[in-house]
Order: sequence, then structure tokens, then C-alpha cells
Amino acid sequence: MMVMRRREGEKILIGEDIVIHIEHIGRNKVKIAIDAPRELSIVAEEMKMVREENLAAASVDVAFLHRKIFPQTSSAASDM
Amino acid sequence: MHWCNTIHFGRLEYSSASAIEFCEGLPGFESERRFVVVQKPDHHPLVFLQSVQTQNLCFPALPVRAIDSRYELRVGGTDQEALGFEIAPKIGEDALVLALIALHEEDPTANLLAPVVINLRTRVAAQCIDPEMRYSHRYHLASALEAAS
Repeated sequence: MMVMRRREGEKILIGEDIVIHIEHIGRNKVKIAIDAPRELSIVAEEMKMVREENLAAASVDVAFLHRKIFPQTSSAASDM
Repeated sequence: MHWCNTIHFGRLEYSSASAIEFCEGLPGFESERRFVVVQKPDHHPLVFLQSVQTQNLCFPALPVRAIDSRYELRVGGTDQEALGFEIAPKIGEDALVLALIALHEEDPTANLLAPVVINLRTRVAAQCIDPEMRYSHRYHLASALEAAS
């Protein structure tokens, strides 16, 4: 991994097509502008985590889930 | 009344007032804008976010306070504005706050990091990532529910 120190207003170049601009450094947040080819996906890490959890949630077998978290009432869920 | 076909609930009737609108969809499901919150007595306290556009899209969910009675909601500025809250929303009073449930190797987990927040007055909804990242996106449910029972 490469580590670089940058000040507000400075830029980092990755290859020919990607420019990362440190727009603003706040107390505990930085604002970053990224110029990159349209086909590159750029998302915050937590957004990727949320997307993966949503995809997993969408494919849950509800009857199985119910048996798993409420085993004592599982017979009631069998009609779904 | 409106209705939609669903895999889990068959033909589901709902009123405009019970539909919720995600202005930007959910991550991974950006084009899914309209859902109905379905509650079934047999599955209490589980609730379901059923898409009215896609019959086989149904997210199981639990109210965050059913998982963690001390859950504190934090909504970032952009989300708060999108949801139409002038001040920080309170769970139960201003907002219904649901954690989506997933299974990982058969273990149920709740996404407490990014709950679905529904404005109870306007029915506008958004999935809001905790700006301070205080909760897990894979909170293991088994331990929480054992503790509660």
C-alpha cells in the first residue's frame, strides 16, 4: 500500500485517467473530489457493505428465518 | 385501494397511505421506489418490506428497538433533509426504524449500521448509514433475542 501526505487543495494522480482532489479537510472529515472514467465504480466502503447486506436480505427464506429466530413459534410460520 | 401480486403474500391489497416511497431506492435496488410494510401476526415482531413493483422482492426486517432496546438513531444531514425532518427524528414518534435481516451461513444478522428510516407523517423512506458508524452491518440476532426472551 502506498501512503502519501497531502494538504487541502492538492491532488493525487493515478495512471492517466484518475485524479483525486483533496477539496477540504475538516475537523474529522475530508471532502474528496474524484475524476475517473465513467465505467469505474466509485462508492464509499460502507455503501458496498450495505448493498451486499441488502442483496442477502432479499434472498432470505422467510419461513426458515422465522424458525431460526423464533423456534418456539415456528409451526405458525409454516403457511408462508 | 391498490393491489400487487407478491410471492410471499399472494395478492396484497394496500392503501396509498400504507405505501412508503424510497426516493432513491435502496443500495443494490436503486430502481425499487415503492414498498408496503407488511405485518403478519404469525411472524410478530418480524415485519416485511414488500416491493409493489417486483413481486419476489421482500425484505424481512425488525424494528431496531426489538433488537437493541437502547438503539440510538443518528441520521446524517443529507438523509435528514431527504426524509423531510427538520430536527433529528425520534424512533416511534417521528420515524419507524427497521433493520433489514439477512442470513449468513444460516445465522440471522441485522443491519443496524444502515436501518431503513420511514417518516411516519409523509411515508417517505431512506436507508440511512449511521454517520458515526457505531453499529454493525451484521449484528448477530441470536444473542440479542435470547437475551430478550
